[in-house]
Amino acid sequence: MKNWIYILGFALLVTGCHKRERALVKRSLLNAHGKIVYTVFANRADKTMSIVYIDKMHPLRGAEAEPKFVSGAVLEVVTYAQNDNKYWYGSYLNGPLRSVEQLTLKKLDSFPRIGVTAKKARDPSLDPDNWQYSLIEGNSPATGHPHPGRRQIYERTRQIISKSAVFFP
Amino acid sequence: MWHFNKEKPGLFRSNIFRITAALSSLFILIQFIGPRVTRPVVTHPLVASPEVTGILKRACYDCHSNETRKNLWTELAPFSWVIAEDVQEARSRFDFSTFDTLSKAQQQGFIWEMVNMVLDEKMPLPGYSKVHPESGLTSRDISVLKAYAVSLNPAVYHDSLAILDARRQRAADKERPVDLPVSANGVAYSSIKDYQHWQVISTTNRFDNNRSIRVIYGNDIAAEAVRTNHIKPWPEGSIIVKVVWDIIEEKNGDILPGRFNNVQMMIKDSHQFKQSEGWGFAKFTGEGLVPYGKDASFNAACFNCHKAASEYGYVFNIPLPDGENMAVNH
Ligand code: HEC
Ligand code: HEC
Repeated sequence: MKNWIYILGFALLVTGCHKRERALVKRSLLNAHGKIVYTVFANRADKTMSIVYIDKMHPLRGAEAEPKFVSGAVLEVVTYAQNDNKYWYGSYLNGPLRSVEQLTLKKLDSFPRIGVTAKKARDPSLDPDNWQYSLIEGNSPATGHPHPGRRQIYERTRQIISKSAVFFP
Repeated sequence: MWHFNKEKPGLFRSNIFRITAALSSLFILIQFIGPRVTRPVVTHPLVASPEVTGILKRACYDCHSNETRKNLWTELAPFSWVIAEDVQEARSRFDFSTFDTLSKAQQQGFIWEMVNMVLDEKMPLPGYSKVHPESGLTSRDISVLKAYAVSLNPAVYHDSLAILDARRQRAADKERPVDLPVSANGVAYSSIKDYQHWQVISTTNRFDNNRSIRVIYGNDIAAEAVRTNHIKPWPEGSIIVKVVWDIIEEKNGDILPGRFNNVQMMIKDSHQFKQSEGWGFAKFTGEGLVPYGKDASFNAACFNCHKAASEYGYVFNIPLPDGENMAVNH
Protein backbone atom coordinates (compact mmCIF):
# COMPACT_ATOMS: atom_id res chain seq x y z
CA MET A 1 0.00 0.00 0.00
CA LYS A 2 2.72 2.37 1.02
CA ASN A 3 4.51 1.65 -2.21
CA TRP A 4 1.51 2.68 -4.22
CA ILE A 5 1.37 6.00 -2.50
CA TYR A 6 5.01 6.58 -3.35
CA ILE A 7 4.46 5.61 -6.94
CA LEU A 8 1.40 7.83 -7.22
CA GLY A 9 3.28 10.72 -5.68
CA PHE A 10 6.19 10.22 -7.99
CA ALA A 11 3.92 10.06 -11.03
CA LEU A 12 2.23 13.31 -10.01
CA LEU A 13 5.59 14.91 -9.49
CA VAL A 14 6.80 13.85 -12.90
CA THR A 15 3.69 14.90 -14.80
CA GLY A 16 3.46 18.09 -12.75
CA CYS A 17 7.02 19.08 -13.55
CA HIS A 18 6.51 18.18 -17.14
CA LYS A 19 3.47 20.44 -17.46
CA ARG A 20 5.17 23.31 -15.71
CA GLU A 21 8.25 23.05 -17.90
CA ARG A 22 6.15 23.19 -21.01
CA ALA A 23 4.19 26.19 -19.80
CA LEU A 24 7.37 28.02 -18.88
CA VAL A 25 8.94 27.78 -22.31
CA LYS A 26 7.96 30.71 -24.51
CA ARG A 27 9.38 31.64 -27.85
CA SER A 28 9.08 35.16 -29.14
CA LEU A 29 8.82 35.50 -32.87
CA LEU A 30 9.90 38.71 -34.49
CA ASN A 31 6.95 40.89 -35.41
CA ALA A 32 7.63 42.25 -38.89
CA HIS A 33 4.65 44.64 -38.66
CA GLY A 34 3.21 43.59 -41.97
CA LYS A 35 6.51 43.76 -43.83
CA ILE A 36 7.44 40.94 -46.17
CA VAL A 37 10.74 39.23 -46.87
CA TYR A 38 12.78 41.09 -49.45
CA THR A 39 15.90 38.96 -49.34
CA VAL A 40 18.08 36.84 -47.07
CA PHE A 41 21.83 36.38 -46.78
CA ALA A 42 24.30 34.67 -44.50
CA ASN A 43 27.97 34.46 -43.74
CA ARG A 44 29.45 31.12 -42.86
CA ALA A 45 32.63 32.60 -41.43
CA ASP A 46 30.73 34.93 -39.05
CA LYS A 47 28.00 32.33 -38.52
CA THR A 48 25.27 34.94 -39.00
CA MET A 49 22.16 35.08 -41.08
CA SER A 50 20.05 38.09 -41.95
CA ILE A 51 16.53 38.62 -43.21
CA VAL A 52 15.75 41.85 -45.02
CA TYR A 53 12.10 42.85 -44.76
CA ILE A 54 10.48 45.54 -46.86
CA ASP A 55 7.22 47.44 -46.35
CA LYS A 56 6.24 47.86 -49.97
CA MET A 57 7.78 46.92 -53.21
CA HIS A 58 7.66 47.83 -56.83
CA PRO A 59 6.34 44.97 -58.84
CA LEU A 60 9.38 43.26 -60.31
CA ARG A 61 8.06 43.64 -63.82
CA GLY A 62 9.41 46.85 -65.30
CA ALA A 63 12.00 47.00 -62.56
CA GLU A 64 14.68 47.87 -65.07
CA ALA A 65 13.14 51.24 -65.74
CA GLU A 66 11.86 52.20 -62.30
CA PRO A 67 13.94 53.26 -59.34
CA LYS A 68 14.70 50.13 -57.37
CA PHE A 69 12.93 51.24 -54.17
CA VAL A 70 9.69 53.16 -53.72
CA SER A 71 10.05 56.65 -52.21
CA GLY A 72 9.73 56.34 -48.43
CA ALA A 73 10.41 52.57 -48.46
CA VAL A 74 11.42 51.04 -45.14
CA LEU A 75 13.81 48.11 -44.92
CA GLU A 76 14.36 46.17 -41.73
CA VAL A 77 17.43 43.96 -41.45
CA VAL A 78 17.21 41.31 -38.75
CA THR A 79 20.42 39.44 -38.04
CA TYR A 80 20.74 36.25 -36.03
CA ALA A 81 23.75 34.32 -34.88
CA GLN A 82 23.49 30.86 -36.38
CA ASN A 83 23.40 27.74 -34.29
CA ASP A 84 24.02 24.20 -35.35
CA ASN A 85 20.80 22.37 -35.94
CA LYS A 86 20.67 19.94 -33.04
CA TYR A 87 18.91 17.30 -35.11
CA TRP A 88 20.63 17.80 -38.44
CA TYR A 89 24.35 17.96 -39.10
CA GLY A 90 24.43 19.87 -42.37
CA SER A 91 22.17 22.76 -41.47
CA TYR A 92 22.35 25.94 -39.39
CA LEU A 93 19.32 27.64 -37.94
CA ASN A 94 18.65 30.87 -36.06
CA GLY A 95 20.41 31.29 -32.76
CA PRO A 96 20.33 34.43 -30.60
CA LEU A 97 19.18 37.69 -32.18
CA ARG A 98 22.18 39.92 -32.92
CA SER A 99 20.67 43.10 -34.28
CA VAL A 100 17.76 44.85 -35.89
CA GLU A 101 18.58 47.71 -38.26
CA GLN A 102 16.18 50.01 -40.03
CA LEU A 103 16.78 51.84 -43.29
CA THR A 104 14.30 54.43 -44.50
CA LEU A 105 14.44 55.94 -47.94
CA LYS A 106 13.84 59.68 -47.84
CA LYS A 107 10.71 61.03 -49.46
CA LEU A 108 12.25 62.28 -52.64
CA ASP A 109 10.15 65.04 -54.21
CA SER A 110 10.76 64.22 -57.80
CA PHE A 111 11.06 60.49 -58.04
CA PRO A 112 11.84 60.16 -61.69
CA ARG A 113 11.15 57.42 -64.13
CA ILE A 114 14.60 56.61 -65.33
CA GLY A 115 15.74 55.51 -68.75
CA VAL A 116 17.02 51.93 -68.77
CA THR A 117 20.57 52.89 -69.73
CA ALA A 118 20.83 55.84 -67.36
CA LYS A 119 19.44 53.84 -64.47
CA LYS A 120 22.59 52.73 -62.71
CA ALA A 121 24.05 56.21 -62.53
CA ARG A 122 20.89 58.09 -61.68
CA ASP A 123 18.70 55.89 -59.51
CA PRO A 124 18.35 58.02 -56.36
CA SER A 125 17.07 55.03 -54.37
CA LEU A 126 20.50 53.45 -54.79
CA ASP A 127 22.32 56.41 -53.24
CA PRO A 128 23.14 55.54 -49.61
CA ASP A 129 22.96 59.25 -48.74
CA ASN A 130 19.24 59.18 -49.46
CA TRP A 131 18.66 56.64 -46.70
CA GLN A 132 18.21 57.16 -42.99
CA TYR A 133 19.90 54.40 -40.96
CA SER A 134 19.12 53.46 -37.39
CA LEU A 135 20.22 50.60 -35.21
CA ILE A 136 17.11 49.50 -33.32
CA GLU A 137 18.47 46.60 -31.32
CA GLY A 138 21.79 44.92 -30.61
CA ASN A 139 25.18 45.82 -32.03
CA SER A 140 25.98 47.05 -35.50
CA PRO A 141 26.82 44.09 -37.74
CA ALA A 142 29.30 46.37 -39.50
CA THR A 143 31.37 47.05 -36.38
CA GLY A 144 30.21 44.74 -33.62
CA HIS A 145 29.61 47.87 -31.49
CA PRO A 146 26.43 49.78 -30.67
CA HIS A 147 27.61 53.03 -32.33
CA PRO A 148 28.71 52.66 -35.95
CA GLY A 149 30.45 55.66 -37.50
CA ARG A 150 29.32 57.60 -40.59
CA ARG A 151 31.51 55.65 -43.00
CA GLN A 152 30.35 52.34 -41.63
CA ILE A 153 26.72 53.36 -41.90
CA TYR A 154 27.27 54.44 -45.49
CA GLU A 155 28.94 51.14 -46.36
CA ARG A 156 26.35 49.02 -44.58
CA THR A 157 23.52 50.94 -46.29
CA ARG A 158 25.18 50.46 -49.68
CA GLN A 159 25.62 46.77 -48.99
CA ILE A 160 21.95 46.28 -48.08
CA ILE A 161 20.30 48.35 -50.81
CA SER A 162 22.44 46.82 -53.54
CA LYS A 163 21.05 43.36 -52.82
CA SER A 164 18.52 41.87 -55.19
CA ALA A 165 15.10 40.76 -54.08
CA VAL A 166 14.66 37.01 -53.89
CA PHE A 167 12.25 35.53 -56.36
CA PHE A 168 8.99 34.24 -54.91
CA PRO A 169 6.69 32.12 -57.05
CA MET B 1 14.25 -56.62 -22.30
CA TRP B 2 13.44 -53.47 -20.45
CA HIS B 3 10.50 -53.40 -18.06
CA PHE B 4 8.97 -50.17 -16.96
CA ASN B 5 7.88 -50.01 -13.38
CA LYS B 6 4.12 -49.71 -13.49
CA GLU B 7 3.75 -48.13 -10.09
CA LYS B 8 5.96 -45.12 -10.58
CA PRO B 9 5.42 -43.26 -13.85
CA GLY B 10 8.56 -43.64 -15.96
CA LEU B 11 10.72 -40.93 -17.24
CA PHE B 12 8.96 -40.95 -20.60
CA ARG B 13 5.54 -40.64 -19.05
CA SER B 14 6.23 -37.68 -16.76
CA ASN B 15 4.49 -34.41 -17.56
CA ILE B 16 7.77 -32.59 -17.64
CA PHE B 17 8.96 -34.96 -20.30
CA ARG B 18 5.81 -34.53 -22.35
CA ILE B 19 6.02 -30.75 -22.24
CA THR B 20 9.71 -30.76 -23.08
CA ALA B 21 9.17 -33.18 -25.92
CA ALA B 22 6.32 -31.12 -27.32
CA LEU B 23 8.34 -27.94 -27.08
CA SER B 24 11.36 -29.55 -28.68
CA SER B 25 9.40 -30.88 -31.62
CA LEU B 26 7.73 -27.52 -31.99
CA PHE B 27 11.15 -25.91 -31.89
CA ILE B 28 12.41 -28.28 -34.59
CA LEU B 29 9.28 -27.78 -36.65
CA ILE B 30 9.43 -23.99 -36.63
CA GLN B 31 12.94 -24.15 -38.02
CA PHE B 32 11.29 -25.04 -41.34
CA ILE B 33 8.78 -22.22 -41.45
CA GLY B 34 8.67 -18.44 -41.20
CA PRO B 35 10.79 -15.76 -42.85
CA ARG B 36 14.50 -16.38 -43.32
CA VAL B 37 17.48 -14.11 -43.70
CA THR B 38 18.34 -14.33 -47.39
CA ARG B 39 21.70 -13.38 -48.87
CA PRO B 40 21.26 -12.45 -52.53
CA VAL B 41 24.40 -11.69 -54.57
CA VAL B 42 26.00 -8.30 -54.21
CA THR B 43 25.68 -6.57 -57.57
CA HIS B 44 26.30 -2.81 -57.19
CA PRO B 45 27.98 -2.15 -53.85
CA LEU B 46 28.58 1.28 -52.38
CA VAL B 47 31.76 2.77 -53.82
CA ALA B 48 33.78 4.51 -51.08
CA SER B 49 37.14 4.36 -49.35
CA PRO B 50 37.96 1.23 -47.34
CA GLU B 51 37.92 3.37 -44.20
CA VAL B 52 34.31 4.39 -44.83
CA THR B 53 33.06 0.99 -45.98
CA GLY B 54 34.90 -0.61 -43.05
CA ILE B 55 32.84 1.41 -40.58
CA LEU B 56 29.57 0.78 -42.37
CA LYS B 57 30.30 -2.93 -42.77
CA ARG B 58 30.89 -3.26 -39.07
CA ALA B 59 27.84 -1.28 -37.94
CA CYS B 60 25.23 -1.36 -40.68
CA TYR B 61 25.79 -4.13 -43.24
CA ASP B 62 24.12 -6.83 -41.16
CA CYS B 63 20.78 -5.19 -41.94
CA HIS B 64 21.30 -2.75 -44.82
CA SER B 65 23.14 -5.13 -47.18
CA ASN B 66 22.95 -8.64 -48.59
CA GLU B 67 26.03 -9.54 -46.56
CA THR B 68 24.26 -10.24 -43.28
CA ARG B 69 26.74 -12.16 -41.13
CA LYS B 70 25.71 -15.63 -40.02
CA ASN B 71 25.46 -16.48 -36.36
CA LEU B 72 23.32 -18.73 -34.21
CA TRP B 73 20.52 -16.17 -33.88
CA THR B 74 20.22 -15.35 -37.58
CA GLU B 75 19.69 -19.10 -38.22
CA LEU B 76 17.61 -20.17 -35.23
CA ALA B 77 13.85 -19.61 -35.19
CA PRO B 78 12.07 -17.82 -33.63
CA PHE B 79 14.96 -15.31 -33.26
CA SER B 80 15.71 -15.52 -36.97
CA TRP B 81 12.13 -14.43 -37.77
CA VAL B 82 12.53 -11.15 -35.95
CA ILE B 83 15.94 -10.57 -37.49
CA ALA B 84 14.73 -11.46 -40.99
CA GLU B 85 11.96 -8.92 -40.68
CA ASP B 86 14.33 -6.15 -39.58
CA VAL B 87 16.74 -7.01 -42.37
CA GLN B 88 14.00 -6.99 -44.97
CA GLU B 89 12.72 -3.63 -43.76
CA ALA B 90 16.24 -2.19 -43.61
CA ARG B 91 17.13 -3.39 -47.13
CA SER B 92 13.87 -1.97 -48.47
CA ARG B 93 14.98 1.48 -47.30
CA PHE B 94 18.45 1.25 -48.82
CA ASP B 95 20.75 -1.64 -49.56
CA PHE B 96 24.51 -1.20 -49.68
CA SER B 97 24.70 -4.21 -52.02
CA THR B 98 22.71 -2.38 -54.70
CA PHE B 99 23.56 1.16 -53.58
CA ASP B 100 25.28 2.07 -56.82
CA THR B 101 22.06 1.60 -58.79
CA LEU B 102 20.72 4.75 -57.09
CA SER B 103 21.32 8.15 -58.67
CA LYS B 104 24.21 10.19 -57.26
CA ALA B 105 21.70 12.57 -55.69
CA GLN B 106 19.82 9.73 -54.00
CA GLN B 107 23.06 8.23 -52.70
CA GLN B 108 24.16 11.55 -51.24
CA GLY B 109 20.77 12.05 -49.62
CA PHE B 110 21.05 8.69 -47.89
CA ILE B 111 24.65 9.30 -46.77
CA TRP B 112 23.65 12.55 -45.03
CA GLU B 113 20.66 10.82 -43.49
CA MET B 114 22.93 8.02 -42.24
CA VAL B 115 25.31 10.46 -40.58
CA ASN B 116 22.41 12.11 -38.82
CA MET B 117 20.74 8.86 -37.76
CA VAL B 118 24.05 7.79 -36.23
CA LEU B 119 24.55 11.15 -34.47
CA ASP B 120 21.04 10.87 -33.13
CA GLU B 121 21.74 7.32 -31.90
CA LYS B 122 18.77 6.07 -33.90
CA MET B 123 21.04 3.76 -35.94
CA PRO B 124 22.27 1.07 -35.67
CA LEU B 125 19.00 -0.05 -34.08
CA PRO B 126 19.46 0.17 -30.29
CA GLY B 127 18.43 -3.48 -29.74
CA TYR B 128 21.13 -4.57 -32.18
CA SER B 129 23.84 -2.43 -30.60
CA LYS B 130 23.21 -4.11 -27.26
CA VAL B 131 23.98 -7.56 -28.62
CA HIS B 132 26.71 -6.32 -30.96
CA PRO B 133 28.92 -4.00 -28.94
CA GLU B 134 31.43 -4.03 -31.83
CA SER B 135 28.90 -2.07 -33.91
CA GLY B 136 29.26 1.01 -31.68
CA LEU B 137 30.78 3.95 -33.57
CA THR B 138 33.60 5.92 -31.98
CA SER B 139 33.78 9.71 -32.32
CA ARG B 140 36.58 9.08 -34.82
CA ASP B 141 34.30 6.86 -36.91
CA ILE B 142 31.66 9.57 -36.85
CA SER B 143 34.19 12.20 -37.97
CA VAL B 144 35.15 9.94 -40.88
CA LEU B 145 31.51 9.60 -41.92
CA LYS B 146 30.91 13.36 -41.58
CA ALA B 147 33.99 14.15 -43.67
CA TYR B 148 32.85 11.62 -46.26
CA ALA B 149 29.41 13.28 -46.50
CA VAL B 150 30.97 16.76 -46.79
CA SER B 151 33.37 15.52 -49.49
CA LEU B 152 30.43 14.41 -51.63
CA ASN B 153 28.98 17.94 -51.70
CA PRO B 154 31.80 20.50 -51.73
CA ALA B 155 31.19 24.25 -52.04
CA VAL B 156 31.56 25.87 -55.45
CA TYR B 157 32.68 29.48 -54.98
CA HIS B 158 31.25 32.31 -57.05
CA ASP B 159 29.45 29.88 -59.34
CA SER B 160 28.85 32.05 -62.40
CA LEU B 161 26.21 29.69 -63.71
CA ALA B 162 24.22 29.96 -60.51
CA ILE B 163 24.51 33.75 -60.61
CA LEU B 164 23.27 33.87 -64.18
CA ASP B 165 20.43 31.49 -63.40
CA ALA B 166 19.18 33.65 -60.56
CA ARG B 167 19.40 36.80 -62.67
CA ARG B 168 17.47 35.18 -65.52
CA GLN B 169 14.76 33.98 -63.19
CA ARG B 170 14.30 37.44 -61.67
CA ALA B 171 14.22 39.09 -65.07
CA ALA B 172 11.68 36.65 -66.51
CA ASP B 173 9.54 37.03 -63.38
CA LYS B 174 7.10 34.31 -64.40
CA GLU B 175 3.64 34.49 -62.90
CA ARG B 176 2.31 31.72 -60.72
CA PRO B 177 0.48 29.01 -62.67
CA VAL B 178 -3.22 29.85 -62.90
CA ASP B 179 -4.33 26.42 -61.70
CA LEU B 180 -2.65 26.00 -58.35
CA PRO B 181 -1.17 22.52 -58.05
CA VAL B 182 -2.31 19.72 -55.76
CA SER B 183 0.17 17.14 -54.52
CA ALA B 184 -0.47 13.40 -55.08
CA ASN B 185 -1.34 12.99 -51.39
CA GLY B 186 -4.04 15.65 -51.65
CA VAL B 187 -2.11 18.54 -50.10
CA ALA B 188 -3.01 21.67 -52.07
CA TYR B 189 -0.88 24.72 -52.79
CA SER B 190 -3.97 26.89 -52.41
CA SER B 191 -3.77 26.39 -48.62
CA ILE B 192 -0.48 28.32 -48.54
CA LYS B 193 -0.89 30.81 -51.36
CA ASP B 194 -0.60 33.80 -49.00
CA TYR B 195 2.40 32.50 -47.07
CA GLN B 196 4.52 35.57 -47.88
CA HIS B 197 2.38 37.43 -45.34
CA TRP B 198 2.70 34.76 -42.64
CA GLN B 199 4.95 34.85 -39.60
CA VAL B 200 8.60 34.01 -40.28
CA ILE B 201 9.60 31.28 -37.85
CA SER B 202 13.22 30.78 -38.78
CA THR B 203 15.81 30.91 -41.49
CA THR B 204 18.38 28.26 -42.26
CA ASN B 205 21.14 27.48 -44.62
CA ARG B 206 22.47 24.09 -45.45
CA PHE B 207 25.86 22.79 -46.43
CA ASP B 208 24.73 19.19 -46.95
CA ASN B 209 23.47 17.62 -50.18
CA ASN B 210 20.98 20.49 -50.47
CA ARG B 211 23.26 23.53 -50.35
CA SER B 212 20.64 26.23 -50.08
CA ILE B 213 19.17 29.06 -48.05
CA ARG B 214 15.66 28.91 -46.63
CA VAL B 215 12.94 30.95 -44.98
CA ILE B 216 10.41 29.09 -42.85
CA TYR B 217 6.94 30.55 -42.32
CA GLY B 218 4.05 29.46 -40.14
CA ASN B 219 0.33 30.19 -40.39
CA ASP B 220 -1.38 31.74 -37.33
CA ILE B 221 -2.00 28.36 -35.71
CA ALA B 222 1.58 27.21 -36.17
CA ALA B 223 3.04 30.55 -35.05
CA GLU B 224 0.95 30.46 -31.86
CA ALA B 225 2.05 26.86 -31.25
CA VAL B 226 5.70 27.95 -31.47
CA ARG B 227 5.18 30.94 -29.15
CA THR B 228 3.44 28.87 -26.48
CA ASN B 229 5.51 25.72 -27.03
CA HIS B 230 2.52 23.53 -27.90
CA ILE B 231 4.40 21.45 -30.39
CA LYS B 232 4.07 17.96 -28.96
CA PRO B 233 1.81 17.43 -30.80
CA TRP B 234 1.28 20.47 -33.03
CA PRO B 235 -2.36 21.67 -33.13
CA GLU B 236 -4.61 20.62 -36.00
CA GLY B 237 -4.46 23.03 -38.91
CA SER B 238 -0.86 24.07 -38.31
CA ILE B 239 0.89 24.77 -41.59
CA ILE B 240 4.60 25.31 -42.03
CA VAL B 241 6.09 26.52 -45.29
CA LYS B 242 9.72 26.49 -46.28
CA VAL B 243 10.92 28.44 -49.29
CA VAL B 244 14.22 27.21 -50.72
CA TRP B 245 16.67 29.13 -52.87
CA ASP B 246 19.93 27.83 -54.31
CA ILE B 247 22.96 29.62 -52.96
CA ILE B 248 25.84 31.57 -54.33
CA GLU B 249 28.83 31.07 -52.04
CA GLU B 250 31.92 33.23 -51.80
CA LYS B 251 35.35 32.42 -50.39
CA ASN B 252 34.90 35.00 -47.61
CA GLY B 253 31.95 33.00 -46.27
CA ASP B 254 29.19 35.09 -47.88
CA ILE B 255 26.11 33.13 -48.82
CA LEU B 256 23.66 34.85 -51.13
CA PRO B 257 20.36 33.56 -52.42
CA GLY B 258 20.39 32.33 -56.00
CA ARG B 259 17.61 30.86 -58.04
CA PHE B 260 14.31 30.02 -56.35
CA ASN B 261 14.25 26.25 -56.16
CA ASN B 262 11.12 25.03 -54.40
CA VAL B 263 8.45 25.52 -51.74
CA GLN B 264 7.86 22.76 -49.21
CA MET B 265 5.11 22.49 -46.67
CA MET B 266 3.78 20.44 -43.79
CA ILE B 267 0.13 20.55 -42.80
CA LYS B 268 -1.29 19.00 -39.64
CA ASP B 269 -4.37 16.92 -40.40
CA SER B 270 -4.53 13.90 -38.12
CA HIS B 271 -7.54 12.51 -39.89
CA GLN B 272 -5.99 12.37 -43.32
CA PHE B 273 -2.40 11.55 -42.37
CA LYS B 274 -2.65 8.96 -39.60
CA GLN B 275 0.50 7.11 -40.67
CA SER B 276 2.72 10.14 -40.32
CA GLU B 277 1.59 11.46 -36.94
CA GLY B 278 -0.86 13.75 -38.71
CA TRP B 279 1.62 15.49 -40.99
CA GLY B 280 0.90 15.86 -44.68
CA PHE B 281 3.92 16.88 -46.73
CA ALA B 282 4.22 18.53 -50.12
CA LYS B 283 6.93 20.02 -52.27
CA PHE B 284 6.41 22.26 -55.30
CA THR B 285 9.39 22.85 -57.56
CA GLY B 286 10.36 25.66 -59.93
CA GLU B 287 8.34 28.63 -61.11
CA GLY B 288 5.77 26.13 -62.40
CA LEU B 289 5.33 24.75 -58.84
CA VAL B 290 5.45 21.17 -60.06
CA PRO B 291 4.32 18.84 -57.25
CA TYR B 292 6.81 16.24 -56.05
CA GLY B 293 5.92 12.53 -55.90
CA LYS B 294 4.25 10.23 -58.41
CA ASP B 295 1.81 8.90 -55.85
CA ALA B 296 0.92 9.52 -52.22
CA SER B 297 3.63 7.18 -50.92
CA PHE B 298 6.26 9.94 -51.00
CA ASN B 299 4.66 11.27 -47.82
CA ALA B 300 6.22 8.40 -45.85
CA ALA B 301 9.70 9.19 -47.21
CA CYS B 302 9.44 12.82 -46.10
CA PHE B 303 8.14 11.74 -42.72
CA ASN B 304 10.80 9.06 -42.17
CA CYS B 305 13.57 11.62 -42.25
CA HIS B 306 11.58 14.09 -40.14
CA LYS B 307 11.46 11.46 -37.39
CA ALA B 308 14.90 12.77 -36.48
CA ALA B 309 13.06 15.83 -35.10
CA SER B 310 10.49 13.83 -33.09
CA GLU B 311 11.46 15.84 -30.00
CA TYR B 312 9.99 18.94 -31.67
CA GLY B 313 6.86 17.28 -33.05
CA TYR B 314 8.70 16.34 -36.29
CA VAL B 315 9.61 19.92 -37.16
CA PHE B 316 13.30 20.82 -37.23
CA ASN B 317 13.24 24.60 -37.29
CA ILE B 318 12.21 25.60 -33.81
CA PRO B 319 13.58 28.97 -32.66
CA LEU B 320 15.38 29.23 -29.34
CA PRO B 321 13.28 29.74 -26.20
CA ASP B 322 13.15 33.25 -24.76
CA GLY B 323 16.06 33.99 -22.53
CA GLU B 324 18.43 32.25 -24.90
CA ASN B 325 17.30 34.51 -27.68
CA MET B 326 18.17 38.05 -26.50
CA ALA B 327 20.29 40.40 -28.54
CA VAL B 328 23.86 39.93 -27.40
CA ASN B 329 25.63 43.09 -26.32
CA HIS B 330 29.24 42.52 -25.56
C1 HEC C 1 19.49 -4.42 -36.77
C2 HEC C 1 19.27 -3.94 -38.09
C3 HEC C 1 19.82 -2.58 -38.47
C4 HEC C 1 21.10 -2.13 -38.37
C5 HEC C 1 22.31 -2.86 -37.84
C6 HEC C 1 21.10 -0.80 -38.95
N1 HEC C 1 19.85 -0.46 -39.36
FE1 HEC C 1 19.29 1.24 -40.24
N2 HEC C 1 17.35 0.62 -40.35
C7 HEC C 1 16.91 -0.61 -39.89
C8 HEC C 1 15.47 -0.69 -40.07
C9 HEC C 1 14.60 -1.88 -39.69
C10 HEC C 1 15.07 0.53 -40.65
C11 HEC C 1 13.66 0.97 -41.03
C12 HEC C 1 12.81 1.25 -39.83
C13 HEC C 1 13.27 2.45 -39.04
O1 HEC C 1 13.49 3.51 -39.62
O2 HEC C 1 13.42 2.30 -37.83
C14 HEC C 1 16.28 1.33 -40.80
C15 HEC C 1 16.29 2.59 -41.32
C16 HEC C 1 17.45 3.35 -41.52
C17 HEC C 1 17.47 4.64 -42.14
C18 HEC C 1 16.27 5.40 -42.68
C19 HEC C 1 16.16 5.16 -44.16
C20 HEC C 1 14.91 5.79 -44.77
O3 HEC C 1 14.97 6.94 -45.20
O4 HEC C 1 13.90 5.12 -44.82
C21 HEC C 1 18.77 5.05 -42.15
C22 HEC C 1 19.33 6.34 -42.71
C23 HEC C 1 19.56 4.01 -41.53
N3 HEC C 1 18.72 3.00 -41.16
C24 HEC C 1 20.94 4.05 -41.35
C25 HEC C 1 21.67 3.07 -40.72
C26 HEC C 1 23.09 3.16 -40.48
C27 HEC C 1 23.97 4.31 -40.93
C28 HEC C 1 23.45 2.04 -39.84
C29 HEC C 1 24.81 1.67 -39.33
C30 HEC C 1 25.49 2.67 -38.55
C31 HEC C 1 22.26 1.23 -39.65
N4 HEC C 1 21.20 1.90 -40.21
C32 HEC C 1 22.23 -0.02 -39.04
C33 HEC C 1 17.68 -1.62 -39.37
C34 HEC C 1 19.03 -1.53 -39.09
C1 HEC D 1 16.93 13.45 -45.69
C2 HEC D 1 16.12 14.06 -44.69
C3 HEC D 1 14.86 14.80 -45.10
C4 HEC D 1 13.91 14.40 -45.99
C5 HEC D 1 13.84 13.14 -46.80
C6 HEC D 1 12.91 15.46 -45.99
N1 HEC D 1 13.26 16.45 -45.11
FE1 HEC D 1 12.22 18.15 -44.73
N2 HEC D 1 13.72 18.79 -43.54
C7 HEC D 1 14.86 18.10 -43.24
C8 HEC D 1 15.70 18.91 -42.39
C9 HEC D 1 17.06 18.50 -41.84
C10 HEC D 1 15.04 20.12 -42.19
C11 HEC D 1 15.55 21.30 -41.38
C12 HEC D 1 16.64 22.03 -42.08
C13 HEC D 1 16.12 22.87 -43.21
O1 HEC D 1 15.69 23.95 -42.96
O2 HEC D 1 16.10 22.42 -44.32
C14 HEC D 1 13.77 20.01 -42.92
C15 HEC D 1 12.80 21.00 -42.92
C16 HEC D 1 11.59 20.90 -43.58
C17 HEC D 1 10.51 21.86 -43.51
C18 HEC D 1 10.48 23.09 -42.62
C19 HEC D 1 9.95 22.70 -41.25
C20 HEC D 1 10.97 21.96 -40.42
O3 HEC D 1 10.79 20.75 -40.17
O4 HEC D 1 11.97 22.57 -40.04
C21 HEC D 1 9.52 21.43 -44.34
C22 HEC D 1 8.20 22.11 -44.59
C23 HEC D 1 9.98 20.20 -44.95
N3 HEC D 1 11.23 19.89 -44.45
C24 HEC D 1 9.26 19.47 -45.87
C25 HEC D 1 9.70 18.28 -46.42
C26 HEC D 1 9.01 17.57 -47.48
C27 HEC D 1 7.73 18.04 -48.15
C28 HEC D 1 9.72 16.44 -47.74
C29 HEC D 1 9.44 15.37 -48.77
C30 HEC D 1 9.23 15.79 -50.12
C31 HEC D 1 10.86 16.44 -46.84
N4 HEC D 1 10.80 17.56 -46.05
C32 HEC D 1 11.80 15.44 -46.79
C33 HEC D 1 15.17 16.83 -43.63
C34 HEC D 1 14.45 16.09 -44.56
